[in-house]
Amino acid sequence: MRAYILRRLAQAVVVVWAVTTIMFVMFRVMPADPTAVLMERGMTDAARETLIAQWGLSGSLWDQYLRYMGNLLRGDFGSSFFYRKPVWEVLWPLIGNTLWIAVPGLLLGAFAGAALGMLVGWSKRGGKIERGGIFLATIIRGAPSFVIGIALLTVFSSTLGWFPGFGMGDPGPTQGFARYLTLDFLHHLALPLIAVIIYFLPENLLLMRSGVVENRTEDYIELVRAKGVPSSRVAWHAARNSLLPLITWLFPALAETIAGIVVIEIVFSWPGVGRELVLAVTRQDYPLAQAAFFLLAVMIVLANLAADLTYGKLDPRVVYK
Amino acid sequence: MKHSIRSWRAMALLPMSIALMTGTAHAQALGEPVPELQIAYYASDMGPMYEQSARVMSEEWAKLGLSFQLQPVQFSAFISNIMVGGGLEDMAVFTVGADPDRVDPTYWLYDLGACGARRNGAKWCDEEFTALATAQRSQVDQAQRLETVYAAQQRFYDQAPWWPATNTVYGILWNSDKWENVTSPAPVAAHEGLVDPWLSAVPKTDDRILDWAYLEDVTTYNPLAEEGAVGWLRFVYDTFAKNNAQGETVPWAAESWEFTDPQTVRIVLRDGMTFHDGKPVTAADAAFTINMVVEAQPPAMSSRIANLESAEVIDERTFEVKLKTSDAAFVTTVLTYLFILPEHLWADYEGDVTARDVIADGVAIGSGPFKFKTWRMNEVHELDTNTAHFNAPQYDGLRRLALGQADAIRSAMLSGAADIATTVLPVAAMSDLAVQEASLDFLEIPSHGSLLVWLNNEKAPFTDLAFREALRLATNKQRAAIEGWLGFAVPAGEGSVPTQLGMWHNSDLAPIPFDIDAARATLEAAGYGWDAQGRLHYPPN
Repeated sequence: MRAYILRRLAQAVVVVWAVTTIMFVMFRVMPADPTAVLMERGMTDAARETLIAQWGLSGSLWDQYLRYMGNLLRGDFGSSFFYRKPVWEVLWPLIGNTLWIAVPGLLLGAFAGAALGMLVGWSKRGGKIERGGIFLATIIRGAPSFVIGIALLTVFSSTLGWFPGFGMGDPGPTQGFARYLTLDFLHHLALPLIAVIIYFLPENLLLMRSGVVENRTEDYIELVRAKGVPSSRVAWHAARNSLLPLITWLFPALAETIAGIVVIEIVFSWPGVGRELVLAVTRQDYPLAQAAFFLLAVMIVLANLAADLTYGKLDPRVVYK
Repeated sequence: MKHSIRSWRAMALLPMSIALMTGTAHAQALGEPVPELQIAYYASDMGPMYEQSARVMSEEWAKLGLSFQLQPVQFSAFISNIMVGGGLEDMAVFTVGADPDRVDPTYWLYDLGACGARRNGAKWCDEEFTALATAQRSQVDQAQRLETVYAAQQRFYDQAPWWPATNTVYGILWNSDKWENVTSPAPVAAHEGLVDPWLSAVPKTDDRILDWAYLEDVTTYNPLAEEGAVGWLRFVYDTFAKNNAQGETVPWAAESWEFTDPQTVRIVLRDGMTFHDGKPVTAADAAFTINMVVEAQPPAMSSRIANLESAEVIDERTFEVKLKTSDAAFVTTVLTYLFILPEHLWADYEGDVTARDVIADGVAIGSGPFKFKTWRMNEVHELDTNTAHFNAPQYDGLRRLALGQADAIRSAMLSGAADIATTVLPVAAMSDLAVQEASLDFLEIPSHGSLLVWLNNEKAPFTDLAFREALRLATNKQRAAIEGWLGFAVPAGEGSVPTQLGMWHNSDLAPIPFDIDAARATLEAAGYGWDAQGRLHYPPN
């Protein structure tokens, strides 16, 4: 087990290094220049050289790479070109904002998806509930997340006016953690959270349904049924044994959800990592964009590792070599 | 992605019929065919106007027997490779913005047109023009300068190295149920000038906070570090002068100024000004700030401060600025840009002043019409009104909402969460919203921002004056304004200096009407001809 974990960690380091390197090269070979706006405004050549040196963009690509990796190993992601601040000072509060919609959205989406999946899987094969459930899940799964977001905005914000359409709170003096404990925050949180739940629900529904459909014909279900246990209890037995793939999927789904949340954050103007990532790419703010991608890569790699390890704990048939 | 316009084939019948009528084209010998020309323009991430404008104008130019390849170029690549990189292949259709410093003719004459100037991406080099464009920069006598500026424009007009097609119209969308006296900042965009409508707006309700829906965050409150924040900080930090809606430079923190010699400007500060911490604003603060700027040389400020030598205190309210060379644009472009920092909060700072976190240090303190209040990164900035200011607004504060995308801005305006939106929504969309929603009103801001048609003046056929003149005659400015910009642009005047610059524009330049026949006649007179398919050929030999 220990050898397996060490081997997987070594693989994870290689994957993260590869992603980091690819990102570094991509941002350097892009036909874009972070000083372009200033040059258009007439920045002198000398000033441009100074700025390029300040931003760590001077020297050959190889020199820049070595400098970047050296700094990275020391935990220094550089300073944002746009904010003129260390990258982590910019990203840190945004990570919290993203988690506010990602984690509850993921858990509620999983819970609702599992419950609906159980209902659909236990319903009559080929019946209205099964057909309707699969149809709905497929439609939602196929819809891009921005469509879900815009539909919610159109109905509940623009038309009915029940929820605010943007931001994380009304302008006001509340700062720090206290702002997360206000009704105003919850009011703003509602629509993006619902969008994440809807975005995340179909995978869970379909996974759970497949498991229940598979389990409902197993011998142990027949045995439970033969004992005269009520149908709802029998369904619960089948559902419990169908949870395994769903639980193990939660970890990579967290990373996937955070990546998918980029669009939802943009649609709802939610000040999270995803929105900042897009803005950073648009502004050619390399350090910020690279750090955000690095963060996503690490999360995805660790989530996959956690999923593999959890699977072994939950299913004794899995042996680590 | 590249699009090809091969309309010359479709237009083959037109020149053929003209040739048959005139009996000229096919009889004459033809040189090599004019090759397909590439038109670079800003890619669609800057909006659809550029491709639309390039398309409609190239449709007209194709009637001369030309074919085009349309090539979208991402903004920063356009600036790096074409505007300053010398990489213009054939032609470019793009805009230059209505920046406040561009109300001075130097940008339009020298920066875009002089031999070797960094932003002269059209690669035109005319010694006579360059001499005029250079001379006007140092003529502090306005009458003399005007004469030179007009002569430069005449030379430019005669040589047609490139030309403006349209001038951009910006807009302001605001909630007229809650606010009145929202005035136009023309010719600069509302987020640039920071006088109109911000200091004139009057609340009609008890809600005395003006909420401004904007796209992105401010980068910093340290004016020495600003890159993307140009503009907003001038609410907090007073400048010495302002350019008003009439295109005049008017006193602001400076009561008056005069050139005591071509390289020395004596400036007298307004009496009774105070910083937001209550300390008086003195000439010592102003001179200290200028000397600090000269010493620090913040890269983003380089274009405006390159000519500053030093500043020296004369008395409590008077100081002198020494320039490296005589600079006629100093008042218009530098006095309207430089700010005043409190010496008592900056003199003892030992770190890099351009990297100072003024929020953390509690020194986001200027003397401007608004005082810094709070900043939630990527969300909202709040400023309180500085009631002690000589031009204090009649409301209590200003909030800038960083909403990140246009739909959120639209939603904020419709729901009443925001009171005013400026250039971040397409102007046509703002106008439509004002029609749809009774509470919203719309104001057009005709600006000096210009859509330019650039030619590679070092490469045939653009090295030929007759070809350039023909292309200019075949430039349909009206179509570019209506179809390219959906009406939110106006056909530009003649010469490089926009008509919106008032006295600086040479109004003696005769308008050049759009005329395809005249353009073809110009080409024909210069020896060009057309083959049986209607394709334009160079003169023989």
